[in-house]
Amino acid sequence: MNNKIEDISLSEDKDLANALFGKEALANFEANNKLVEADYFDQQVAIILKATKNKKAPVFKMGNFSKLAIAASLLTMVATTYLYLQKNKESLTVPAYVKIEEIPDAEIENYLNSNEALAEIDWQTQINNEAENLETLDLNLPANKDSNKLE
Amino acid sequence: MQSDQELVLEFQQSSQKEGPYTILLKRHQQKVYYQIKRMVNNHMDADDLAQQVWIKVWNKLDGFKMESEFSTWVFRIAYNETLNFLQKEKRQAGHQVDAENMDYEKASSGSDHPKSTQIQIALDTAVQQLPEKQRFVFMLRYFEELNYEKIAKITGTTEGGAKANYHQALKKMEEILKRN
Repeated sequence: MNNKIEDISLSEDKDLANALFGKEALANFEANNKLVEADYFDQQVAIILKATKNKKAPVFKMGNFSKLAIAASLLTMVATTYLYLQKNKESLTVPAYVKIEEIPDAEIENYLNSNEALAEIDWQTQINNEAENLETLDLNLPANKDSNKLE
Repeated sequence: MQSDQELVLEFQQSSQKEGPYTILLKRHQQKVYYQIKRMVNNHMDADDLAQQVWIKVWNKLDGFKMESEFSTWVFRIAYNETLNFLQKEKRQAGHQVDAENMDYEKASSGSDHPKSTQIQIALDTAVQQLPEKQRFVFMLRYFEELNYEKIAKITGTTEGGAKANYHQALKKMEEILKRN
């Protein structure tokens, strides 16, 4: 049924064009259009087959989904790196010291106990020795440093 | 005789692609060439374009999902290639051909048509002055006798749109005839 309607429609459409130019003129147009050398189509097959042999199939074809996935991964990488750097920057800017009052006594004691060598030093003797050294140093000093220059 | 669909499947599934491709090429090459030549109106360009179309078919046939007939798909490629070519030609010329000033003689001198009666020249002139899409639709309908459903798929429009294109083409050609 549909084909019959289509056939009628086709013949009606063709009749409209025929009425305009005449069936013969349109037939001539097509006849002229079809003028080619006798072996033209065989030659065309040979040329096309030769061309297809030279064409290599694409090695990798990237679909839209793959492109989006790669773009999303790159974006995630950039965002993660940025956030990581921001976080580190903040931790670096915070001053790294603690007030001595805030250190619990127990912790100080533990530190001293674990550093016994420090605790065993006879601090008074050490101070006296240093003082003697200083005195000796003063006695050896030349009376006038500039006198050498005069000589 | 193997159907187009069977040949396409064979091409897609086999490593020996040349066999099924050659059969498809031989089966459809004339229709493709004639349709392109109706559009570009000379053998050299039609020959180049037809080759380009078939090389594209070779490259893309693996991805053809058979949602339409093979012939519709090939005509669709031919339509795109031809329209791209005609638009490129227009740009290269630097100006659009002034349809109003185109006379009978000009129209026939550029074509490969050897015989030129008065009405023949009028037809050539009118056809040349049609917008590309209308011209393509007119040729497919009148000479290839395709139904509008198929024409719509080829030209990327609706059935109604294709029908309108055919009738607009006729109307325009009638106006050109009257003017000349």
